[in-house]
Amino acid sequence: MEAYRPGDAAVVGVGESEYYKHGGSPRSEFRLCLDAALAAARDAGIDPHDIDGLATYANDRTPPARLAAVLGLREWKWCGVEGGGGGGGGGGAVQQAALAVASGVAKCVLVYHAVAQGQGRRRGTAIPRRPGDSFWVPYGLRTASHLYALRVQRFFHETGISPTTQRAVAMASYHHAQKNPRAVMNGRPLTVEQYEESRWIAEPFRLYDCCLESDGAAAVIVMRGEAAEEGQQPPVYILSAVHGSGYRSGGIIEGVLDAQRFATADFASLADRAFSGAGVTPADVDAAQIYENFTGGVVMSIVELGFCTPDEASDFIVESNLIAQGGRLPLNTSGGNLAEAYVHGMEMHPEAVRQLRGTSHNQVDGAKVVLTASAPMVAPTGVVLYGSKEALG
Amino acid sequence: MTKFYLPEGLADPLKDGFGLGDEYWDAARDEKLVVQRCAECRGWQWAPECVCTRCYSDNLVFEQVRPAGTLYAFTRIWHPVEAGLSESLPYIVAVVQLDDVPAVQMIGNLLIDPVTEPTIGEACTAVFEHHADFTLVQWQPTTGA
Repeated sequence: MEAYRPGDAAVVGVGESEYYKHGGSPRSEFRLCLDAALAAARDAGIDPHDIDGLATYANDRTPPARLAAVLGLREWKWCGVEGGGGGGGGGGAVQQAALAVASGVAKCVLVYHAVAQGQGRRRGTAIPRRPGDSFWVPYGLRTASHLYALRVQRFFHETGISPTTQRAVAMASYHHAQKNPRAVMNGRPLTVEQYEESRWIAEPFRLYDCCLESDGAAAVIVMRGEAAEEGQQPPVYILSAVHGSGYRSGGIIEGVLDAQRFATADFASLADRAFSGAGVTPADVDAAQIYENFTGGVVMSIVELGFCTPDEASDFIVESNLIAQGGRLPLNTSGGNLAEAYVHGMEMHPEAVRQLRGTSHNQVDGAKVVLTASAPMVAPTGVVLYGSKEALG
Repeated sequence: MTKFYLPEGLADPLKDGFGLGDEYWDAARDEKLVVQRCAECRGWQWAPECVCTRCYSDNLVFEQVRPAGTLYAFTRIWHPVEAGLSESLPYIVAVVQLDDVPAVQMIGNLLIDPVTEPTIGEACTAVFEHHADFTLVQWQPTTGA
């Protein structure tokens, strides 16, 4: 992103709908989306009519034109729909918004995602058939947990990292959810015993290694960095936003059964671009919001994003290191996909922004740089580094 | 074990309608294992694609390989994602690295007692599971390996 400089774009507002367990929402998926959009506009102190761009991802079912019509966008200048990365697309949608405002194509872009699994396909059920899937589907490889379990199992084999690191990731998310009243799992703490006694889904994933199935929506509003300084909230800058994947990394679901790198979350190349673009290093990151499709994918991501080496991982990825209260890498400080709500990682972007405003329910003291990583093992995926005014230097 | 590892009719192979991979299914019917190869640049690829992923040629052939490999990765699945799988739990899905084409990670079921712990790296041999309309290539630990 040579053309994009840290701080060219910033988040001026964040918002969410109420979050529910799948099937729990009394409101339609579209209404949840509107709730998040209007909350973000209120938070930003802007008139929704002034939004002039929309960005979304993960096959969002909210038609952009309906959203534009209901919000009454006076002049709709830009629409970016991230293509096909599922939960990998959150960072991509933020990147599109950042580039749109930085280039001047639009001034005020709403990035949104709504998913009410109670009103559509539950993601834990079998993936609909697609052409070319006959080389894996007849063997019972039917859903995301199955496909990604294979990669994570091989990752643990190759690296020697302890699979119990997965438990630390789950425990951190549930820990943070207990202090976050938005979280679906608020009031439902997780103990080590509960985790260890939970049933297998697809080894090495137990129940608590898998993301929730939720009804909810989240949104952020992106404007130029200078414009954000006039806003009603402290500006939170987009230091860098990268999106993409490595060579033939689509995985089994894209028919890649000859991957050169099988046991990867596919963050190695993105991490270099994200950190060099932002002018920071992993050591500068005060908190990380890393998409938990499955906890093992987060373990892969922590290593590939450079927070520790594979040799250090079994000692580094422990609950005490991953919590906001004194941890070295506070992780998923809202509860994330495991315990706040599964909005395909969109819910992690408002949380990153709150950390930099100093208003998280699990505030990391003096946070200046927060990383968000979209879905591990998914192509394309994304990394966004957010920073406070101080981080801009 | 029943005649088939997983119940028939749940997720049978689907033809793509344009012939992609038909040679593989025909070979499996004859108990032969084949892998797609580019006749121009000689690169192997799997799963079958409509062009060579290296040189984009559509002059692609299927070459016979030995039905032998090693266990590269596996998962033992305990949660039924569709009702018809409930009777088959747990079941093991394996990724097998072919001896003749190590770049290929072929998917199949590992035909062992599902409570036995598979060992990554162990030698496997293909087993042909004949259904009425198709044949699945399955894997079992190589005897005497």
